[in-house]
Amino acid sequence: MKKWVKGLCVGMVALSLSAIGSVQASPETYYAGKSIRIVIPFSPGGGTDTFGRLIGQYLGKHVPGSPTVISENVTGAGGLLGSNEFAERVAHDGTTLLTASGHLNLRAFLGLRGLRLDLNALEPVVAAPMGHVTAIATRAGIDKPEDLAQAKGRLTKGITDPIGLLESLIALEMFDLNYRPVPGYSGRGDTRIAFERGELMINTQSTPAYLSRVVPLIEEGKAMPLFAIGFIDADGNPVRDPAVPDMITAPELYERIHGEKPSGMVWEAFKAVVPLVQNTRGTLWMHGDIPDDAKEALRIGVERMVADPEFIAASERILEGYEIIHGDDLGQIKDSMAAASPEVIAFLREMLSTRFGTQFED
Amino acid sequence: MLEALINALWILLDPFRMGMLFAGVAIGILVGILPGLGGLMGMALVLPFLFGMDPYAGIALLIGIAAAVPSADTFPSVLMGIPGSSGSQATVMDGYPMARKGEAARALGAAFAASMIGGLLGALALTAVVPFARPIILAFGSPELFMLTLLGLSMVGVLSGNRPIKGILAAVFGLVLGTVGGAPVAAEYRFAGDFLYLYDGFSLVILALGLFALPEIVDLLARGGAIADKKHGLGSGWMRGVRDTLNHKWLVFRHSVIGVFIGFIPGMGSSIIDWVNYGIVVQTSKDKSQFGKGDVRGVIAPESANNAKEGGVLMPTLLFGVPGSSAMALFLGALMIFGIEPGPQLLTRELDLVFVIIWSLALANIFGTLICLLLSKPIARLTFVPFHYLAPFIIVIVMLGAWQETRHWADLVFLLAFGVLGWVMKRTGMPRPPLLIGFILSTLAERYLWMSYNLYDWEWLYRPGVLIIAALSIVLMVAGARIKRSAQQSVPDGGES
Repeated sequence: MKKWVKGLCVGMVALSLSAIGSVQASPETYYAGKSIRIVIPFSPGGGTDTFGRLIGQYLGKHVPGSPTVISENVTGAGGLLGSNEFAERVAHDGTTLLTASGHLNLRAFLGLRGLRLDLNALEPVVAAPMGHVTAIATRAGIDKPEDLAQAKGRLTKGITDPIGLLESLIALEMFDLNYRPVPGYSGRGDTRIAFERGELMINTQSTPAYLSRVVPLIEEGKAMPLFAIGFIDADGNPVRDPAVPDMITAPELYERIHGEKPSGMVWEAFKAVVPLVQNTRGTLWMHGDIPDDAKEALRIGVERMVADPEFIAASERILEGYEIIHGDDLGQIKDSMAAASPEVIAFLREMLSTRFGTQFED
Repeated sequence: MLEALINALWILLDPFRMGMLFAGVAIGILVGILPGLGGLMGMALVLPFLFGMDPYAGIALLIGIAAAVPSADTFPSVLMGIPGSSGSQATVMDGYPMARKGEAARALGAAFAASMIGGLLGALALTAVVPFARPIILAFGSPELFMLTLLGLSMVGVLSGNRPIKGILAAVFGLVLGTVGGAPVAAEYRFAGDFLYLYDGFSLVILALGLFALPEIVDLLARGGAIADKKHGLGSGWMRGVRDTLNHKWLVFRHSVIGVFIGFIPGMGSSIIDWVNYGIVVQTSKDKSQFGKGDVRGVIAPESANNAKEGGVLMPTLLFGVPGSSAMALFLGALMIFGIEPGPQLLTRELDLVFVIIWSLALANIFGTLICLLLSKPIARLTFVPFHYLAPFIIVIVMLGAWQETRHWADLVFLLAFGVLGWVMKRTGMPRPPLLIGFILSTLAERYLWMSYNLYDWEWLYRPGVLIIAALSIVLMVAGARIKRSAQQSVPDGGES
């Protein structure tokens, strides 16, 4: 309650200020006296929320004109309500930004039914990456990742929202593994407990969660790492996950098993999904058609923010071993989307709707 | 371990950290008193201030909020028949009738004493169970969780009093309402059409406020006068309530343990805890005649449990990084801001931190209860104020409570719709709690049934845990029915002699 009373006051002040001072704009003065609202379409406390709040905490100080930055959770319908509000009901003047997760970006990219966010009309302001690692229970009876095809028993894999796990599903698809999906889990944490309990045979976690909570299981002899999803560089080649540089990646494992590099539709889909999910675990988006002065002011703000020692110290714990993506590096987010052919998108939609019943916009 | 225990107390006794603990308790009491707002809201309010704060102080602040809410949410439940937060719905059942009889202070005294003891037992349980927590949590797979939802549904009978058919109808309707929105095990949205608001299903807070708050307000206004009759007075005050609780030591202990235990199991959600405890206390009591009319045991049982549960829900949160309740999801986010990685390694590497959490929980319960006790006398006097002075204020608060759920206009429309539903149910003698239980358990039952089947085909039916919980539900139901029948027989016997 307090929060929106405060929001109201700030809004009124901003309104009155913008009414008085519509002087000529430049990046230096564009945000003077304005406030920036960051829409976070998730409930407070999750990884993406924490990233959004971190940025919200420091960005205002560094953007020229020192705007007040307010982070607001607009929850509902798995992120759809907040995203649609940002897409359709805010002014395109740079005073409203959106914090999306990698999987929300993926939903928009694939055109999930009900989501009206068009990533092509947006531009990233700043982003943070996050890798993932897949592990298998020792009960499956294999002792090295190369034997994956010989795994025994019910190869159960917990499903939350299938798009929210797509990078791991597409990797299993690449190995043509006949796994048994078990839908109904409410989050990756849930699937991890079920994995530990022995209900689930195959489990994918974010790399930090893997390091802190799956590694102890491996030490107990209950599980074995299969592969890291790994990253895809600007030229479309697989690279290792910087947080687990010693772990083999899925494309490398494929090459080891089959003696050739992965190719074909599944591989194209992998190359489209992985950068989009993993480079944008947290992404701050702006509308693409906001004034150039606003874009420039935000760019300057981000560059100053990432150099601020206080921000670096605070972000270290939240980024969990990865580096902020800013400046020219942000280009790769849209490049990887542009590189995906319509056939790849159709393939992914087909796979999700036949296998899991996911519904898409026509 | 003992050393860490004492060390943690010293860490916490720092003036700034204690100040934060008090601030947390104060915020918790405030959001607890306001209907519809709970620990989640309180924690969300302070989240922006955690960046850069001393981790121990931040944890004391958050735990202060979490611990004080289930004490303070008793006020609206008892005084106005409006659930103060989703954890104190069952307190309405007997607490409010006590207030109507002019025993508000007694009900509050009993509730607060039970809250404090329950909260302390919860903190104690957290300490004692720390070494065994992991195997216990791991023992509850999807099939066992499904059986627990059935155990919850078997409570419907006792919560319907002497109107079992109407109660079952209400529960079935609740199950149906629970199916609206995203399906738990498929990527489809039921009865939602293109209305995105319904993708999440109905909100429990709005349903509870609509069912219980609006009908009460309408009827009180129609009747005129104050909530309690002045000639009854405040009763013999809150000391009598405290003594009630002390006289029911065993009850407090039993329900605290049940509260910790259910809180402990991730995936059950904490909103069912007070109902399960209310159901059990009714089922296991010899003399049921006063339940629903102002039996102090109906206040003591859910109130001991809802404070004790905070000790329970912390367990999966700390050990597995899986939130035991929605407020704990936020607590997890805060741990992330402080760079604390939850997991079993906390117990070996950061035992100090775990004990700071436990001490915060214990101290916040004591402070929270004492403040609530001090407040109880002046606040209880509100029940003598002519209700038409209070009603506008309460309606606004209830609407704000509903509106903060998603801040979508549909929040208010559904509040009104459920209000009308609740009023019709109240007028036709249809019990409302079974509807709420059906609603809470609908998604859970569907999810865990399908998950059990997908994981084990039908083999899950033979799992020992499943059989034990099935036996327990049957024993509880049969025993409940027996006691009820013998109670009914003894009444006419007594009348004849």
